[in-house]
Amino acid sequence: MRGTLNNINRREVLKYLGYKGGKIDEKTENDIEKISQKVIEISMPLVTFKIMDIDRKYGFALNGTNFIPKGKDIKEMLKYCDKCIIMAATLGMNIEKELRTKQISDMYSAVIMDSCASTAIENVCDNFQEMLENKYISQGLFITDRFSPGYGDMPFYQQKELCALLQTEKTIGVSLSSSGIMIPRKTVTAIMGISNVKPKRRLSCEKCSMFENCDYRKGGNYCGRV
Amino acid sequence: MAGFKDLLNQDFLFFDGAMGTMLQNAGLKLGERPESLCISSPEIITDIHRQYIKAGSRVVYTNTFGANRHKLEGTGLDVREVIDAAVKCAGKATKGTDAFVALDIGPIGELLEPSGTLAFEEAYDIFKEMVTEGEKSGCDLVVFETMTDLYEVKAGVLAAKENTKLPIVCTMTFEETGRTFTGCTIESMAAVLEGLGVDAIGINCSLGPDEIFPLAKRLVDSSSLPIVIKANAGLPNPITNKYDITPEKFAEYMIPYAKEGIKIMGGCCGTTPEYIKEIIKAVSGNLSERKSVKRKTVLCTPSKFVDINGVRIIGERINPTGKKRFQQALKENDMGYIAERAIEQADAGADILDVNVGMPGINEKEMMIKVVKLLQSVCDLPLQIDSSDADAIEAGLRVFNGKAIVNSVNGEPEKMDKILPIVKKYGAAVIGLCMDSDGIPKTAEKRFEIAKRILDKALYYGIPREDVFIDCLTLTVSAQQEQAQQTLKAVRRVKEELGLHTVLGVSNISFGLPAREYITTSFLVQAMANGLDLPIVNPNQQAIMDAIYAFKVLSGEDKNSEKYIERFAGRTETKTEQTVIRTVKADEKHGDLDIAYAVSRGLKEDAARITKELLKEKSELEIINNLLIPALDKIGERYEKQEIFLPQLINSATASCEAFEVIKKSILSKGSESVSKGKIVLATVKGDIHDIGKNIVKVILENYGYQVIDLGRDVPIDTVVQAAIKENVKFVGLSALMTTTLKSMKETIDAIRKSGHECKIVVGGAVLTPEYAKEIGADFYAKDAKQTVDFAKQVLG
Repeated sequence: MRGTLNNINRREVLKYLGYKGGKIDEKTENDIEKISQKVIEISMPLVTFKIMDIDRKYGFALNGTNFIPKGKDIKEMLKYCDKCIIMAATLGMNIEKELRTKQISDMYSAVIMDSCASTAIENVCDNFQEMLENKYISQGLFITDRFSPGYGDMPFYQQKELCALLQTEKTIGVSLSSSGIMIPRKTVTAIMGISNVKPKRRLSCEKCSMFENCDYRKGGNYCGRV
Repeated sequence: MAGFKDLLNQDFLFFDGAMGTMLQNAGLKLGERPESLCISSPEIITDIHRQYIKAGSRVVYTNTFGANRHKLEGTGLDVREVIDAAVKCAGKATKGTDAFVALDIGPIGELLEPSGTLAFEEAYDIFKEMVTEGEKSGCDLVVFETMTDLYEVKAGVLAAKENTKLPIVCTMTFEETGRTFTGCTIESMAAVLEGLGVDAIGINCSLGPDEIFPLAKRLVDSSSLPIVIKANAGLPNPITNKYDITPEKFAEYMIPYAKEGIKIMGGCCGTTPEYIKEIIKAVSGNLSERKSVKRKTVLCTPSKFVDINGVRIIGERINPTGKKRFQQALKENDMGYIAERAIEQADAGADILDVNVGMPGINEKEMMIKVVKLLQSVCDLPLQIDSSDADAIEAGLRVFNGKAIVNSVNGEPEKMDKILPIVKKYGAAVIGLCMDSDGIPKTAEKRFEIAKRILDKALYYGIPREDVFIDCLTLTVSAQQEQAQQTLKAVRRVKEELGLHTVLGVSNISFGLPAREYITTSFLVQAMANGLDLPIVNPNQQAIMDAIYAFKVLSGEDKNSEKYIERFAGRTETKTEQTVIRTVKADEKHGDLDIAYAVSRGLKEDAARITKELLKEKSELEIINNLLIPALDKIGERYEKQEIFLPQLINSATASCEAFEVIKKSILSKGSESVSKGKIVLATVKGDIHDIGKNIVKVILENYGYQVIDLGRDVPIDTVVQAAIKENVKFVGLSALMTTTLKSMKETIDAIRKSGHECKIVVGGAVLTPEYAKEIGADFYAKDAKQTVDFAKQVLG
């Protein structure tokens, strides 16, 4: 299905660009705005998802599949859930091509565009999550955080399994390179639980895979997602 | 029994429906490899084929959709074994019936270059393994289906054509927009696959039959090949995974297809034998004659389709002849420079790019492959492969993703016999030069004769008339004045009497005369009036482009003069804008804008202009060492102090790049070698494709006068080692962004050390730490581009 991309968070773009406070000149400010618009315009956001039963009979598996999410963190997040949503979202191939060309002809814009696109894919995920939340709240159900392979102790390589379950190649045009990188690169896979208990939202820094070498944390800041 | 190809021109021909859906109904789990069942439970597979044949399918697809080396990796299954078993399963079902076995081939599952990392040649190998085994096991045809990448299909088709005698059917998967996920249009698919000589093309998967119908109509309009349609049974429900269109409804949707003359149909995801039965019932008696397709000349890449129904501009700038800076780029493997020339011409309005990389000391074939791959990674214009070497032409056509032009053949029989079969094989268009072993004829009549000869020979080799372009040749008017009229006359005759498109390189006309632009433009306009529709020009020359825009108004092609008005409206605006900016700047700096200021503010044009002025009184090295580098250092300091951040740093770097470009040209014009403070190899390691960081480092290093040998991304270990040794490079930079690719960073470092080549290695990338850099044997860890420069200074000075 088509995803929704309607906003690119300026603060987050600035953080991706390595900005840590101080004055931003007007030109950069304007260019970020202009390039954000361009990213919204040329992206072709697509989302695919499946709703799965969590099978705890033999450990912890998604029903009807051989997929067992690894690590304690994801199990902790899904503790009160009988069902979960697995999803993948992408900005599509257009932005990938544009970034490639821009890196040759205009590196300055390319760097900003790359940051805008990284922020944009989060917006697509947020919008999708919000849509689900609105849908489930009427049934008295809640959606947990979005948890992606690579977060906490869930291994990054499970991204590949999620892509296979979601048939992302067919459904949203996302495939993996031989070293496990999703292409187009502005793509996210994630798991969210459906729970009848209101979950504690937001990951803490300690659970983040970047905890050890996070640049924001080193500077006494945070990435905005915590 | 008649062969499969005979069936294509008969009445209806029904293919089968889904295999995956049937297997899931039989208990296959999501995420499991369906191909394994060919070996573990062959009876289930044979039974599914039997059900389809019973329902009326005359072609069944083997259960080999993902039976390729890449997808079977780690499953313990062997490609040959699976294919052999699968063909046997199908063969058992078709035995004693009139049904055919199609070897089913889906996408490899890994995206090809440039967006992915799988090389075209490797994709070819993967398909070759499948098709040769399929033929050996006894399949009747090969089907490539659910494809989204035209490049991948091309690799498959070539693999099948070159290694088997099997008929080939190709179907691709489109979104409602009429494009595949990778951006390929229906028209481009038709142009390329028809050119490659497949037996039938079509659309499958992704959408329901109602949504595919408008796309199928577009396909009917753009191809004369038999068309295959296999739609999904609507859309899947994300919870139940069931599809929402019933067999009866599906069949009803197929009737309009029959009325369009589409004879080959089946089903994709969600369909079962029941659907096939219903389709056959519903469409019988509804078949209409397919309308004939108007032949037209098209060139394309997957995402860009150029219809030659008016004047189309061929950009001539990718050519080393007479261009020292371009020659240097080829010699130094400076691919960035070449890519910039492509983007620049595309932005200036070129429709097609001529690509010539022939010069002494360069392996033309290898360079052609490299440059064609490069250009299609940054630009979506169709290419014109320009060479006199048949091997280089073939190599270029082979790796080009689209329908190209070959430049050129002439009237010499040996030349035609050599080049034209290549043109035919790859489905390209070709330029015929009106000359032969006796040289260029003096009269229009003689040139016309040669044009006719070339056309006849092209037709003989099966190249359609609309793909033959004629170049009547421009001669220098200052040397042979009467020849200008002969050229124009020949253009007119070729156009009117042979009905062929004509090509001319026009700038040659004015050689040796003052104010060349007037002569060139005037000749161009006259040539277009005489029927020239493919001028080969420098699209960066304003006067030339203005003349073409004006011509299109007068010829009626530019409806309501829209494009003309747009072009000139834009120009007035820029002029005013520029004046405004200049005034402001003059105020700020009291009219004394210096290079440091231009660089710090990222003013590209000013940086170039000031450098030109500086060169009048200062040497190149003085400018670099005393002005540019101190300016960059200052900017670097501000970056470190976080007074400015990444975008400004890059902006300054790009401005200083412009200054460096001016300096490089100045040095070349004096005939001296390039100034370089030393060579640096940069690479994003094997397996990693995140290269923006590496590219930033490259820009900054170049600005300090280092010559960067950029090996790109996903670079094999050996390539890094070889480049370091061959160019005797003392400083190597490696980048990796993923924890998963740090391993190959370590392996690259190990390989460099093992080779015994002495050099310092700097590493960088998001997941690296100084500790880890040390652990894997790097000499330096750079946290950013600025720091890399500091290390470069330490090592190279």
